[in-house]
Amino acid sequence: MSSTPPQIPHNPKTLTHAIGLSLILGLALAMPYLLDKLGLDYYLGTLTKMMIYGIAACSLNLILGYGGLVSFGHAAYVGIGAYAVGILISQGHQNAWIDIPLAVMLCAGFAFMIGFICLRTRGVYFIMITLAFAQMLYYLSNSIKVFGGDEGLSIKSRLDFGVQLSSKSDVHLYFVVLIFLLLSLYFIHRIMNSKFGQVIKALKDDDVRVDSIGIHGFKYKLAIFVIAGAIGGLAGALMVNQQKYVSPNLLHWTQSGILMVMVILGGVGTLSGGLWGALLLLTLESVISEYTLHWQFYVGWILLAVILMAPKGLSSFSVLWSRVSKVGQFKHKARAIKP
Amino acid sequence: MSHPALFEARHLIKRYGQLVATQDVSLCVNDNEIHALIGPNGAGKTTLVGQLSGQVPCDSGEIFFKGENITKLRIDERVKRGVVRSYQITRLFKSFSCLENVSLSVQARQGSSFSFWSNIKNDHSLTQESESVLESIGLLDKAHVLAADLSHAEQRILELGIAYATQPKLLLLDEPMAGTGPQESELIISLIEKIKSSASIFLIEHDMDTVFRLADRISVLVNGVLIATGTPEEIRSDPQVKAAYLGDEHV
Amino acid sequence: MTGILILEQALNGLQFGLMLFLLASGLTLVFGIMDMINLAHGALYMIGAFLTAWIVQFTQSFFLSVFLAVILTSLFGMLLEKTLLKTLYARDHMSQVLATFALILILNESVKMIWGTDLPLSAPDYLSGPVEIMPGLMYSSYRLVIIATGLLIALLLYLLVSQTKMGAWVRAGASNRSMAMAMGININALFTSVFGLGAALCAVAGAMLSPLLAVQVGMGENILILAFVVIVIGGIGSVWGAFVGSILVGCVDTMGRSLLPFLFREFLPPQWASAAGPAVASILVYVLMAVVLFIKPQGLFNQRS
Repeated sequence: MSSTPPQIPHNPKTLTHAIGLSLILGLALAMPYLLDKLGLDYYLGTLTKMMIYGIAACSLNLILGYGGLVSFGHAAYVGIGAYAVGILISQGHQNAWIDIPLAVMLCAGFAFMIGFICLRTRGVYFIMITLAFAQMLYYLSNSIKVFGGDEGLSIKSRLDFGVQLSSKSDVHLYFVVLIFLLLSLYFIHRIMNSKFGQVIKALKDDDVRVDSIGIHGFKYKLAIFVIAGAIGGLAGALMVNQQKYVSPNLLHWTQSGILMVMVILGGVGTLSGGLWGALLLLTLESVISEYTLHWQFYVGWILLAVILMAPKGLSSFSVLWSRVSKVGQFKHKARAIKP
Repeated sequence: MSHPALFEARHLIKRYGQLVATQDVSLCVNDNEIHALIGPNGAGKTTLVGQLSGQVPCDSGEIFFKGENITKLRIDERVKRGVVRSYQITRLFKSFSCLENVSLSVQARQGSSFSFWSNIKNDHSLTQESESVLESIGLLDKAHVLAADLSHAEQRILELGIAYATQPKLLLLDEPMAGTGPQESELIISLIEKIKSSASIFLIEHDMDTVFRLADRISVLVNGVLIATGTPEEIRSDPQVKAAYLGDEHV
Repeated sequence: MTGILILEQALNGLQFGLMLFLLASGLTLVFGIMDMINLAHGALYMIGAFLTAWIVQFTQSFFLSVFLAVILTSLFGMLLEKTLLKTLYARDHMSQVLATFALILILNESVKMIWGTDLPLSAPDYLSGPVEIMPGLMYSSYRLVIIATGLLIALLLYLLVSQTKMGAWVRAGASNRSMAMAMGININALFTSVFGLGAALCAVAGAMLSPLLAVQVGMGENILILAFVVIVIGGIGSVWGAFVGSILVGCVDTMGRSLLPFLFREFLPPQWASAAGPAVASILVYVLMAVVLFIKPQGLFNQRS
């Protein structure tokens, strides 16, 4: 008697999912034109920035949400990616197809070296040493005057992608970032549903048990650490491209904290949690800043409330929902079998 | 013995500061044998198992498996060679279902998990083998139940199942019976007897009935020292053992 | 670069290290006993500084203000513990990190709303002059007072932890919390007191260092990182480890920043030296931590069983 999970045709949940996703995608594609019609073009840059942070937060979610590795130094990879592309552009190399892969590979390399040392530690020591490495890079970027030092690096032009998706630079960049966001999400979706992803999820529950069944956990932790660093670097590359500016502040540990906040707000260990968290946090920041300079005060309280009451972030509610609907699925199948 | 033991530990020593948890322990496990380890609480049984499985590094001594020196090997390297441990306190992947728990062991055994792109749900050989393991441990109907939601006894059985799914040659069983009632104990005993046909077992247990029923040989550990090794009859009648341990046990 | 300069920098390192010890000891105790990462520890340091700078406007006496600020900060710390922080003890580290991170945001902005981004605070006039502690070596008398204060508190802390009953409870809790609880120690009162003590120590450090480092919002974060580096190097739960770590970190950081550029200028071409000097100096402490963790992943004097 096989026990494959019920394959219910026309599963209402997948259908709603598909419809929902299509709507969101359609909205995203139409956004530049909508904003233009409403005279709110300015917000396109804000949306682009939100998506970039979304990519960064999703990359952190890989190691933090899925893997259970509390890395407090993730901003470092965003920073390395940003500086790499910023420096390349200021030296006259504007080809996106060279610059971005280079930046991503540089980040992967750093993540490999840093992960190799940090992943030997556990618990709070791991948190602290990831923080320490990020601080090191922060101070380095602050002191190296050639790359701008504490004033940061401004660049005059943006990356050249070969194709122009729009005559307006901002709209073109919006679509570029949207494409990278979708690709990143798809990539994350594939790896987390693979055998590799299964190991990562197991490592979060009990990393010693993973070793005890014959899988060298360290190798997998390092691999996901590198992947997360690489995608973080991608976010950084896009960020410097959008802002035309990068400064050491991007690597400051408070930035790592902000990324963690995005992950927790949006949903730990869910595919798009990082994206929603980024959207939510940055929207909160914009909206509250309209009324007061002290937006961090209010965001602090909101964050505190979320931690205390919904520990897995907004996804707590979705996890509850999916468990409820799974029960519904089984009942449905049972009814279908019985005569 | 003309032919070397399957698994051999020689002169293992482990210290924690002033405390010598394992004092010059030597033992061996033969093919198709159940070798039980008994001893009072605090004797150092779990520390010993930790050294045999690779979780705890020994201060000195050597461990051999099928003639190969595995003393310096990591836990996962030993598992790949067939030396697998199951835990006294259940260590399951709580957020995984029963099927997923067993599946991971099967996946580990089948080779490298550095597969990033194919969806794991499409791997039929993985699912089939996992389901057959679940069937043989009697948990197939609970395949999609989360490990965290199982009863204590079911968790103990799954714990055993995870180790069994790796197709071990030597299974280090750390108190598999802990906290189970008579019905579940019977199930675990029948599982152990099933495993015996394909693997040797190093069994740590407190339940004397089980030990004397299953074991081919028994070793007795007291305060980190192995005071006796022999057949169940030899151990039962050994005065030293009686004095140190079996004193108020019903044998 | 003379011996006098090196000695002066060593004293500065000792002075900074001792103040760092005040933060680190509280942090390591909270961590060791309550198993809680408290990022807001630096905020208490900041609050101590701001309170001192504010109170001195009324009392005109530096040390009286410090005294009052310490008491107020300690009370605030205990209030914080009893209301919010105790709910975090049972939570995982990530939740603690995020919750206390949220607390930093709230406290930083609150201070900004009450007092603005900074307040002036200077050392008392009678301590503004230098003292000749050795032929040829003039040293700031205020810094000497800091060193004396630091050493005195370190001694008192040592006596508290090793000689008193409370100290015994603290040590028991640091090495095995569940055992300590099973032995009937009033864990809630102990936790609150430990936290209050930590807050008081932070306030002393904040107040004493302010004339040198400036009272400003965000001052807590920079020193907090160093305090964490200290307890990681020293080993969590170990006050002695915090002491050794603090002096080590204080000296490496202070001496590195002031002496390394000189050293580099001797051996490297000038354009490299001016870039490399400050860069390497600032990361020296982290390199130290990485090296220590690589050799002893649990710190030098780890207490946890």
